[in-house]
Amino acid sequence: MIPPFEYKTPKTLQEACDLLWDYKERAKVIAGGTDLVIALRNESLRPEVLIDITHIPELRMMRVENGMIFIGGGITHSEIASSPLIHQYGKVLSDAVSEIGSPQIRNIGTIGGNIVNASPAGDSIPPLLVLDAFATVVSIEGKKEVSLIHLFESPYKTTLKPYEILLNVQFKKLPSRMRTGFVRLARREGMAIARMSVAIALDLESGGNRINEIRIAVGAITPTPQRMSEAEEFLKGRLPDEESLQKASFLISDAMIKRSGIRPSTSYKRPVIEALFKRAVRQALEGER
Amino acid sequence: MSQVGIDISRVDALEKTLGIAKYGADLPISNPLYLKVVRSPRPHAKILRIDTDEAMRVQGIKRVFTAKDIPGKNLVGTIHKDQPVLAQDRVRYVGDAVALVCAETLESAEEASKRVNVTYKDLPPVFDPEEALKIDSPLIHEKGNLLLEFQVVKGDIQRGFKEADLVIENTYTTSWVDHTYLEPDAGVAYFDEEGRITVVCPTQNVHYDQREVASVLSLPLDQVRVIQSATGGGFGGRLDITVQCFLALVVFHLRRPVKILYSREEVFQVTSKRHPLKIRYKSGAKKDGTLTAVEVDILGDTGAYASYGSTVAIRSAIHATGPYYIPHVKVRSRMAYTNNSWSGAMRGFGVPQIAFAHESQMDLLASVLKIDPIEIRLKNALQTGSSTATGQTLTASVGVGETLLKIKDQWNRLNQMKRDSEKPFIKRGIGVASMWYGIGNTGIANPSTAQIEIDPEGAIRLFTGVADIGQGSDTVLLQLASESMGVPLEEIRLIRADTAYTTDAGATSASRQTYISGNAILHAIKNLKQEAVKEASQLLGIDEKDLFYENGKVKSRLCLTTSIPLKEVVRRSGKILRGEGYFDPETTALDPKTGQGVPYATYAFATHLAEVEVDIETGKVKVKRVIACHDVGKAIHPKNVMGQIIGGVVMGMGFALMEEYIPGKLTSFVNYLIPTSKDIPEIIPMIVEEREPTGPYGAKGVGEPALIPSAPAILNALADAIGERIFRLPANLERVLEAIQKSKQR
Amino acid sequence: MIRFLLNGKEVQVEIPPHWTLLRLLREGLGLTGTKEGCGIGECGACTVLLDGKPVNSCLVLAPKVEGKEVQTIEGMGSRASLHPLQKSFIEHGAIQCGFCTPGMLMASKALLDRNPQPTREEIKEAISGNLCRCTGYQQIIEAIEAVKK
Repeated sequence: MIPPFEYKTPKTLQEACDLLWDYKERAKVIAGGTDLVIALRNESLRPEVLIDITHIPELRMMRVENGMIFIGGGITHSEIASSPLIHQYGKVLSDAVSEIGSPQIRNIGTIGGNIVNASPAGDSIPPLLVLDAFATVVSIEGKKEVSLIHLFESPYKTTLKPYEILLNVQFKKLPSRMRTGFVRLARREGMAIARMSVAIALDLESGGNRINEIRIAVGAITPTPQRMSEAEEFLKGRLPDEESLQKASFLISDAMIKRSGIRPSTSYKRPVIEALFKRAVRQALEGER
Repeated sequence: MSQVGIDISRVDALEKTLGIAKYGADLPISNPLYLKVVRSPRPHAKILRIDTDEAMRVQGIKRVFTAKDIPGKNLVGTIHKDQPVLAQDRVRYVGDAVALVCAETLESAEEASKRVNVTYKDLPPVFDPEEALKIDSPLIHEKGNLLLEFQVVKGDIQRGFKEADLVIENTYTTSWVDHTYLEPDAGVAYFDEEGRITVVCPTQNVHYDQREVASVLSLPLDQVRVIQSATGGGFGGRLDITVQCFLALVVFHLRRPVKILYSREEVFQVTSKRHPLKIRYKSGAKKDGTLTAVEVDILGDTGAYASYGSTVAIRSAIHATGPYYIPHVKVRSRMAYTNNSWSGAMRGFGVPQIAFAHESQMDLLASVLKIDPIEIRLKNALQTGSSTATGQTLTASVGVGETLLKIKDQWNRLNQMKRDSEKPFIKRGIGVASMWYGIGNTGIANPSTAQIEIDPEGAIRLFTGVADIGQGSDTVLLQLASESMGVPLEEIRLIRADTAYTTDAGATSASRQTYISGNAILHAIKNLKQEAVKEASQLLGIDEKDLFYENGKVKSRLCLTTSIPLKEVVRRSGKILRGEGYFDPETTALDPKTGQGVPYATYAFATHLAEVEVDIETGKVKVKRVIACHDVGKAIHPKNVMGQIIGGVVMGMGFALMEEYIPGKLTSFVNYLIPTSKDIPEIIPMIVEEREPTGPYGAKGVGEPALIPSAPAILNALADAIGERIFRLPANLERVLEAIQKSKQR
Repeated sequence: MIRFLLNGKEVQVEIPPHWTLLRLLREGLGLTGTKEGCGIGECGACTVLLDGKPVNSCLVLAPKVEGKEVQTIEGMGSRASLHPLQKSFIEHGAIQCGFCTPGMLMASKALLDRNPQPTREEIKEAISGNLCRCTGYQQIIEAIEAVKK
């Protein structure tokens, strides 16, 4: 049973920032609530006030500007999954969010919520990382842009201050020559937390077949979502052949162990993340983009 | 036949589809008190002190109850009464009920429950059944940690293995499984219009509940009434007491209506689980595949309390051979107490676990002997005239061979098909598994009773204590009654599962209600017909022996045109005619040393064929198709039978691949996974009808059999795909990948 | 004060904001057709339609429905006129214990409202947030398939 709190529904960003400034730690922002309501129910959070940001127009906007895609923090997973815009310029994100939870969860859960929940298994995060996404953060102190990767401090903890709002995420339209791949493994097909996931964005040299650029991000195997820079560096300028991919996959599993340590699950995760990575690259190579 | 063997709309479906059926949490009750149970966070501890002062200061609190408030016997249990309603002086698992908080609102009850301060002194816990049986283990119950040891001994086991050309021995292990009935336990209680303490809640057996409540409150039976609400699933989990005694205790003391609602997490923590079994299984066979001997050692973990632990020990031992004739058998089955969550009845009572072992062994024998898996099963399959491990000679309705033959065509077809996937990391496999399952309780009386009456207005009422928990017994029992009476089903009003109006039908368990209560109802109708004939004899002035009942009429044997409708008989006689029914299957007690005897009057049989795809890089298993062939005697309602089969296959798939409860760990639907619509295979149910002469219109049972061969067939298919066998359930990602890695090292 | 459209009728209720939509429906309005199976959005028994889309009402705080349209099982059909899905569920044996049924019907209705000709895979996807422990889903899927326009 959820304990009582006050509920505020600001209609403007300014109003929301003011409220958050007034209440600070005593308030929690609610968007879809798919994670927050569970925390309220099990009383791991006991805010005095909830501030519902979904009535603020800017949070509910999806738009293109100067070659950048902006997705408001209050946009739901379903809205992203069904957006032709995202499908065209960031398909890796569409693919990932369409596998989140269940249709019911996707209909209310938001991308902003998925990010600020900072779960190591947050499904939207690896694709956003390979899209080189930024988050726009606002508060009474002003507006700033933060590279998404710098938003995560530790499992379930972001670097956001209690009075800050994640206004939107933004990324450059993925150029049409870049291909992407997304692979997710879970214990069952429907409604399951990702056991592991890999997102890839890949740019091959025009004419040749060498890798110009590859971006690799993994989910659920490191305490915070990560880009796999060792493997990215290694693959740059190489042919995506079996041997190089094999070596890159070892760099990824090594990075996982470096960041997460050896755990009982490592003997399983190590070979599997290697396989999933290669699968994601193959998917990117075979796919249109 | 007009009403039997056809798919009518289920009588409970309309209310359920409209959302107006009342489950435990939906029951209307005005101004109730709300209950919340305080539970032990310790697996094994003495209770030194329960301090309720702080709880009593919470606004809206009424009272906190502890063991000392229980006026009667503070022990319940289906077979052995060893489980306190509220812990007396010690707790035995994480979740044991310690105190019961009662308040004006649910919020107050929850708040106060957190403020009951219990001082514990930890006792050494034991979590492993082998450890628990050691001489120096801490005692969980005073009588010792061995709940039961049971043996089945037939023939000469040494000779059996001497005659074998091949002996294979392995150890199989299964996990705790949660029933995961979708409706969390909930209910209400109040004084009814006749002053009886009345409990309404989901349950599988109102008459058992009534006896326990009366015993706990030290009241005569007739002052306690239990009514089954709409019940959102059971699968054995609602055979034990859940909320009944808590509700009744508070009404008893405070004389106000009360309500209780469990959270899903609480259901996981405090209700029974499927017993984890460790099974050492040794099989011997001749070169031609003929089984000569099996020696089996079973050790189960019943956790903190007995519940159905002894039944599971006995049933798994009796069924240890599988549906095969084996001349030399030795089975030892033991059940130990530990400080784990308590285990109880779950769909199959130990047979799904033992079937995993015997069906894995059959495939292993077949593979070494280079015999087709279907052929080796057919070669050894029980037949009419076969003698079982308990020395029972099967006289009729032995359909295992028929189910194997039906599956064989499919098997041959699939075996010939190209097996490789286009994807290099996907391996395909197929597997079969068979099972047998004794209908009804094991080697003990388990009667059912029923009544039917027709009043002068022609209204027909059928009374049965049977709880329909979603399997469809209301519909099936009405079909049987309608068919037998020769009146339309709509004309019979069913009164069921209310101790004020119905008599004991025994539990909805052991796949027994169609067979046993169905027979009790037919017996009641037979008696009603005799009453009708007697009355008609007076009305018509024809001798009773010259009259007979057919299709709703009493007819004359002498004159084809002379007949009188039943309704006319009651109208003219002005009497209520009644028929009492009783049925108890013919069984014998089992010899305590050898387990020999007749444990069941009849058995159901089945064979499943599973096709799987295994991702050899991740260990992920996808079950593509299951063909499930079941000998049910007679399908009274084929669509219901198919529903049981399909649901059983999917529950078996969860048991095989993903379900594993870990005691003491906070469990919710996030970390306890059951199959979703996206996980299911295509399921093709097939029905074999090997008529059971003692069954109602030839019927046996299907509820539990549906699940039993599913997991072993999937595990056999998995072994076929990866060339390595998994001996521990569930075959989750990690275990499958480990097996794949092992097979590569070969 | 929360104002919303419930099964086509306007409703105004005074409800504390920490109540979920599920609690509002069941306790506040006495509509017990919507079930609580887990309270954390993992079983789908509490599925209702919010502006036509299926959501877990256990995760939706009551103030969230202000100005919106909510559809529950109580508005789907009646004894006299069952919704085609309800009829089909009965005919195909899609109901056993029935506890998942209201949520399952709402999720299926949302699917057919937006996609009258779904494939089998789309049906499985649409009800993948609704657990059923009795039926093994197959007869439910068949029931939904049979209603395809």
